[in-house]
Amino acid sequence: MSDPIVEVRGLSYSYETGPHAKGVLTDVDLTLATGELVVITGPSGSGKTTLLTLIGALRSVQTGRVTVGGRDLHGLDARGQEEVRKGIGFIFQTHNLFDSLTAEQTLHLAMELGSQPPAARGDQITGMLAELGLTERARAKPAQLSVGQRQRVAVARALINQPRLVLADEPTASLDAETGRQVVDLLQRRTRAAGGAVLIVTHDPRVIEAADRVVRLLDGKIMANNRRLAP
Amino acid sequence: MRGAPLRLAWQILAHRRGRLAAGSAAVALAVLIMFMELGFFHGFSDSQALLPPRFEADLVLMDWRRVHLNEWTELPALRLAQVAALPGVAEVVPVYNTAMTLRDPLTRQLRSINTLAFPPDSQALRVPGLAELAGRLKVRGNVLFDARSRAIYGPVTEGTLVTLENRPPLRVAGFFELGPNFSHDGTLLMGEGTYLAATGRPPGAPVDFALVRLRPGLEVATFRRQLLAALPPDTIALTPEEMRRREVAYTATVVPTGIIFGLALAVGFVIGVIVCYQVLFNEITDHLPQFATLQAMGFGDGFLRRIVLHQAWLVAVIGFGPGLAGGWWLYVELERRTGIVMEQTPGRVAFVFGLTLLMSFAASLLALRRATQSDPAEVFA
Repeated sequence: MSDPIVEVRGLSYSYETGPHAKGVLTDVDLTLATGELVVITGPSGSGKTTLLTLIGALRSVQTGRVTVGGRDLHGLDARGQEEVRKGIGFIFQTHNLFDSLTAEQTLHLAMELGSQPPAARGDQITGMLAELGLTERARAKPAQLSVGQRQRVAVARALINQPRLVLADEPTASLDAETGRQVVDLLQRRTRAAGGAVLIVTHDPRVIEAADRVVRLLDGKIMANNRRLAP
Repeated sequence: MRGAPLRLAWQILAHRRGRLAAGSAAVALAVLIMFMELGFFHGFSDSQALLPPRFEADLVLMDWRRVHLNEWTELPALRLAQVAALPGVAEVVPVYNTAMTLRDPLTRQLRSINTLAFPPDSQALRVPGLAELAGRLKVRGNVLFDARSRAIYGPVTEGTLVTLENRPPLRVAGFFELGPNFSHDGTLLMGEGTYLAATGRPPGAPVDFALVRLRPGLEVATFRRQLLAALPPDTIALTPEEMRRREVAYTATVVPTGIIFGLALAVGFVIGVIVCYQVLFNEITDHLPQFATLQAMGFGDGFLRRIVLHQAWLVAVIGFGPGLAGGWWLYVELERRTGIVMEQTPGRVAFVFGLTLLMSFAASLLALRRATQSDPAEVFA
């Protein structure tokens, strides 16, 4: 069996320190294997987003161990965290696209983080936009796109550098059923092709249905970690 | 990733053209203020120092108390004779310089005017028009009028009779060009004889300056040492260029107006920093989620800093052009109206451009604090 993409062991996290500190995450264990699409569900305040930000090297690990692609995140400085994040594709609930950039320009900017020379980027961008049904909207700015189209551009931005790990927060929330399914298929296909994994925080049944595993968080603890059975 | 911050900085700015135009216009205004204050500052000091570089002399002698040109202390005529007797001296030319009042022939109003006098054959001054007309100054009662004087003396043409205080009228025999300054609105040139008669002074009266011309091959510095050793300590000797520089320095550092213009230049700079900061601050605040997203993606603080720095200098450079053009137009207009020469020399343009870049850099340093406040983890919140 190949090494897991993400391995979390005994992870605890608190936003405050001292005697009154209240844990947001408590002793969490989680593994993402190559090719897996894992969904995290749970009520608001259960620690889903905190877990995502810790795995995404957006916060420093306090207690426990988190490894991403074999790299231990504990004790990493800001530069080290940046390096880890370059290998992760992030999809946020709010797309946060620059209103001045076209879809094509957004992907060009994201590819500045990759290793491909500028001259070789065009075909990859064209292919990505085509896969997400955005070929006709390549030169459109966010204001000229529907909410769903904007979210698809954000998905393309996360996938364009072929990351081994994709972290997504409600990626289908603003998409219709058909597009949502397409996006989940694409996430799965692309990350599997890249030998990676996808971790999604969502309540969308369409995504849960497509997941290999569903993790349920409650009050910072994992209450269930079930492999979804094929229908 | 080298060109990406500049490209993104420009794309962000260019997307909101109205805001970019307003920001650049405000920077242009700050640039214009800096040009105006610099123009006043140099126009003031340059115009006060108009005379010394026009003296045809190796050295200019004056009373030691004359720390600037408008300090009316005189030099005894005896000093001229003493200097003329020194070996190596080709010629010593007396120059008289005083402010007098001229009566407007039409309105009868009295106006102050600068008068300069010297022996007509001495070629004391190097000013346009004088060489051709110097002979006319030999006629007692003839004067030359500065064609660039401010238009406050009434209509003056060749042949006009002008009256200095309560003296007999003098005849304008032609024109030369020197220009006014902040002390004098115009200048009259006259021969030594006319001057002494007009002021009621006897021959051998004290002079204001003595122009010393040396024989060819004599080194000025060496001669000056000998000269000062031979004279009592009431006389100083400066080259025309030293006189000019001394006058500029005096005007810039001692005269309140020079200090005021210098301070106003600083105010223009500060206004520019504030305006530039405001433009950057608004851009950053509007794009905080996007900047946080870039950080979350793995772009470092350095990338964000470069975006802000590029935005700063882009706004500054865009604003500099109109500021430069506006400054040039105002310089021309002010020179036309006041006669004071205000020049946009390459050095001064480079100086203001440097201040503009410094201004944008200072503003970006202030604004950067805001840009790097974005927390990438908040993007998931």
